[in-house]
Amino acid sequence: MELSNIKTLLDKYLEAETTLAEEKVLETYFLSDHVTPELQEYIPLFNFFENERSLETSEEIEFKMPFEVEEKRSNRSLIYKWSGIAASVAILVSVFIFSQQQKNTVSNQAPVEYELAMQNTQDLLLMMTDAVSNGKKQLTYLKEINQTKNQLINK
Amino acid sequence: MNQQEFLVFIEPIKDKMYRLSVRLLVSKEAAQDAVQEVFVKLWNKRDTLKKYDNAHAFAMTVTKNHCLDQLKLKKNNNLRIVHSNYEDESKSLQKQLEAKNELEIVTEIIKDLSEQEQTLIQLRDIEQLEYEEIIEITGMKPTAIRVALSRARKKIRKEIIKKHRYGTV
Repeated sequence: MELSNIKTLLDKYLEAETTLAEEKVLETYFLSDHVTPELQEYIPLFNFFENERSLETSEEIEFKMPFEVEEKRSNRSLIYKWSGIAASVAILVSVFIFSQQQKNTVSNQAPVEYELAMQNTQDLLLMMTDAVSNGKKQLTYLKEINQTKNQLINK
Repeated sequence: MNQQEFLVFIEPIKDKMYRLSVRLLVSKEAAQDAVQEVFVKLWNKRDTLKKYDNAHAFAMTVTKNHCLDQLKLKKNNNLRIVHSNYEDESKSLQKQLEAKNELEIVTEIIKDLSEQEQTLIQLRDIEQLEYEEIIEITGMKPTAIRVALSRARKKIRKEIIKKHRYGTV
């Protein structure tokens, strides 16, 4: 490419009137080793463009795809749902078993307690009657006293 | 559009989206986040995506707008903390001094261009897109694109000459 040609292209380039093909011509010229010293200032510019173009995501970055995130989220919510159901079932079962057990213990203990209570109260009543009858025996002395007293008063 | 179609759709364009994000946001981490978020946006619009004549241009538009939004957020934050602006300047000065090689100098120069000029340089000179595509992506008028691009190219050349003291001008 002739130097004068490059210069006219550069003028067009600075006015932003070049086509993509013309800009590529400029780039290949300035990336080559034969750039005339008077146009040196353009070398870093086109080097920069070339260099920036090579910046790529694939080497260093793994993007999370939005639907993957969504799936994970829905998986997580499924887990939450099922764990909730499992927990409520566990609570229901444990309450059921617990109440059943309580019923059992009540029905086992009840007859024994009744018998014991009956016996105890019977014993108590017997003791009471014993005591009362003992007391009643003592009252005969009182009768004697009353009689003698009455005899004295009547005299 | 199912998952497989979406992957096929994304594949040829993801590098361009990433490079545009790096150009505008500077930080590679921020660019990565931005592209990730744009993927989500596109996936949510996957059913309407087919209706666009040029869905790839639409994806680039979404990327560009998302990055500009991020920049706006950043600027708003900076306005609140006045000191950080001060720091930023000294940082870029330091970087300018440290920028030894030519590529870094050009990077610094382009960073100082307006967002619009950066976008145009990225799309035309780096991605080598046709003007029709750039019109679709940016929504600018052809003459406006040419004027801005010409201005940007001249600025870069001027700055390179200033920094390097190349003999010509």
